[in-house]
Amino acid sequence: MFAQPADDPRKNTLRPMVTGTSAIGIKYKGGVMVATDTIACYGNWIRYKDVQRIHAVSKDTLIAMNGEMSDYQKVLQILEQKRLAEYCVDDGSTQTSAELHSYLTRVMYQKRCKFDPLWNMLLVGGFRNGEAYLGYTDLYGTHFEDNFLATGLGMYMALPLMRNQWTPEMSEADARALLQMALKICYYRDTRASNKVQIARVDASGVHIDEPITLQGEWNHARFVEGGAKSGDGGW
Amino acid sequence: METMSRDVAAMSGYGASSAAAGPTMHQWSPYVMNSGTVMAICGKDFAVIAGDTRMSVGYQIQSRNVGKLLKVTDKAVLGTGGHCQADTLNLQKLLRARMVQYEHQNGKTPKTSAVAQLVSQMLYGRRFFPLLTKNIVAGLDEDGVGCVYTFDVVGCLERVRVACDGSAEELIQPVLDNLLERQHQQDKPKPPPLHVDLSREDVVNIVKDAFTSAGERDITTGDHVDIWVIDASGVHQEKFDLKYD
Amino acid sequence: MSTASIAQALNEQRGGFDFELAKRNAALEGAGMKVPRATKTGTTIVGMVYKDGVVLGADTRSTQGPTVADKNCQKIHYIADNIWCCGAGTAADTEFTTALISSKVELHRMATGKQPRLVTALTMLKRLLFRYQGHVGAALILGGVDCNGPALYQVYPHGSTDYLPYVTMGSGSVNAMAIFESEYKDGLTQEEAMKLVHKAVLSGIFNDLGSGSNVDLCVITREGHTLHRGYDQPNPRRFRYPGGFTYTNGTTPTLSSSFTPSRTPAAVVGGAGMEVDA
Repeated sequence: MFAQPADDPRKNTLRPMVTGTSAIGIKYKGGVMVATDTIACYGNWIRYKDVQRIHAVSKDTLIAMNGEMSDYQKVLQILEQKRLAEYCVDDGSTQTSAELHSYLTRVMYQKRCKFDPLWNMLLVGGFRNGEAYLGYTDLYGTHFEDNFLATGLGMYMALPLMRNQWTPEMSEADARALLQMALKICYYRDTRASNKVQIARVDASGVHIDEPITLQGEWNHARFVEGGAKSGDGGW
Repeated sequence: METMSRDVAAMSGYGASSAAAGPTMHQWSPYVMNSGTVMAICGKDFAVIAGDTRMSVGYQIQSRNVGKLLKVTDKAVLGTGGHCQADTLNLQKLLRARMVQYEHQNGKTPKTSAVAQLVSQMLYGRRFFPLLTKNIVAGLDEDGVGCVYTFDVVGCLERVRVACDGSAEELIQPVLDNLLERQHQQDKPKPPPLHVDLSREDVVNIVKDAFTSAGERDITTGDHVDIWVIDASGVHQEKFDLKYD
Repeated sequence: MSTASIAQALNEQRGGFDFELAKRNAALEGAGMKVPRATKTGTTIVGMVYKDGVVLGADTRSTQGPTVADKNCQKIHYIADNIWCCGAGTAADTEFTTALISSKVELHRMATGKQPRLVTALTMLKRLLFRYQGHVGAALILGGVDCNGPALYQVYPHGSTDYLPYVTMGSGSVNAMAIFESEYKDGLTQEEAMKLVHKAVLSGIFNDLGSGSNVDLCVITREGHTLHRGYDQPNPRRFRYPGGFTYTNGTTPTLSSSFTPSRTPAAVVGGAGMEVDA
């Protein structure tokens, strides 16, 4: 009954369902750091309150996601297959972050050309031989690198802060402080964002994905508390 | 008065019973416009190609530092503006692979005209799902004379003296037609058939002025310009600053 | 519309919008006519309250699609000496709406003999905008100081309003808000407030493609207002072709230099109108 008739064209899912919001990342002196919050929304409903949106995909590369959760899980499967294939060759070499990023972009581009996109905006972070790597790819197969990146609403709110504050000499602590501030602002102004966030980094010692932390907001500005009551909000 | 409020209602969609439109269709476009501009001018023994480095989506700058030029051979550079960056990248990657294949099969580097012909065919190969890319190939031809080739999105190819493609095309091209082709300057000498008659320094300055002017009025062109000069000794790269706003 | 009714309409001088051609235009649009686009002030406008007053800020770019229409327009509009208003959205709507309310507020001031209050201007604005259901595309930030002290309001095109300590609107609003959210504190001094508003506008200018060029500021205190037009000009043109482009005389050849008037001058016939001699 639900089978599609033969003359009906195949229909792909062209609309994200369960989504994660902004992912942000920066390079710092001696590593690269990425961050996301930990919720996944079904429309306006917070469907999953404790999801991990950053994963290690090799010993020195991690990815952070924005967009459709199930598509992201598919991405992780594809990259895991890649990793296993490489493991089986057993020649001691592993793909660099740039290579993984390039491969991932080809996957994304091929899917978009079939009008069946993997609805994600992804950050690829890595560190090898003293060089930090930070790249971006998305559902269209766009591909570029930069010193700091943000996806989703983070592109509007986190990028301006990073453009003001980023320097190549930033320490790990500076980077962490900047990402936390950026996540807090996303939490203030993005209805699909949470204050329970996760920060991960790659440095010379490998991938480190921290336990989630909870950010504290500031809601006590006098005029927020006072509201429009004192001066009135105009009549009709 | 009543007529007036009814018209307002019709304009706003309030109150008017809208025609049954059927179920909402969710369409997805595989294209996204990352825009930007490229231009090229060729001289007697050189060619200049330039592209800005802003990459934007909608009203947001995704990166200030994504170049639009690709060195294809020592004598040919591909520039892509007004583009969907995913398509540009796809074209660049395939082109690079084809260059390696060509060199292995033929034991030599392809001529610039062959590079242009290949780009044309690769674009036409996607005739019914076009690469959203506005391309220019600039370089030196087999006689060492500067050459510029332009393409439309599906591979229509033409050799020209000056070219501009992308978001600021309408702003820059008429100025090039006037300054270099001397159209509308009736008594001035016309350029030779294959290239313009200006010095390399003049051409680079015209490119800088053109991009600076385009950056004033086109919101998707800005940040920096890669200006690459191709001559007998290779490709010389320069970066020139535009405004960040 | 007959000639008589046009004359009648003109004589009545009622003001307001003319909807005479709305139906015709809707029909033409349905038939595929392209409607001319209005200039939008793709914009960053911001406002902030501090200890003794209000600082308003704006960029100066206005756009038509992807093209810059004006590189140095003024988006901070006068309402009264103690009330100013930043406008984003359709350029004409922001200008006429603020001018109209400014005039009404001035009449109200003369009638009452008292300094205008912000709620008065706010109420007039929201009533006007609500009546037009968002078709008057003015997104406003209304700020000033009155007998109740400094106040700052946000007005949406559909007529809703908010009373807030810091406000941003326009296409660069999110970029500017990132700055306020990270740095705003209660009770800032005037100097600190100007610095923060300046920084918020710059965030819009450099991150939002719809915003650009210069920073305008307006500081309003109990003592009065200061409009800083061109407070910061961070985007001067950086390069010109050395020596400029010159065209010698004769670049466009002269084909003929004689002049023959094509018609004899028009003559007035009777007192009612004009006719041209054939």
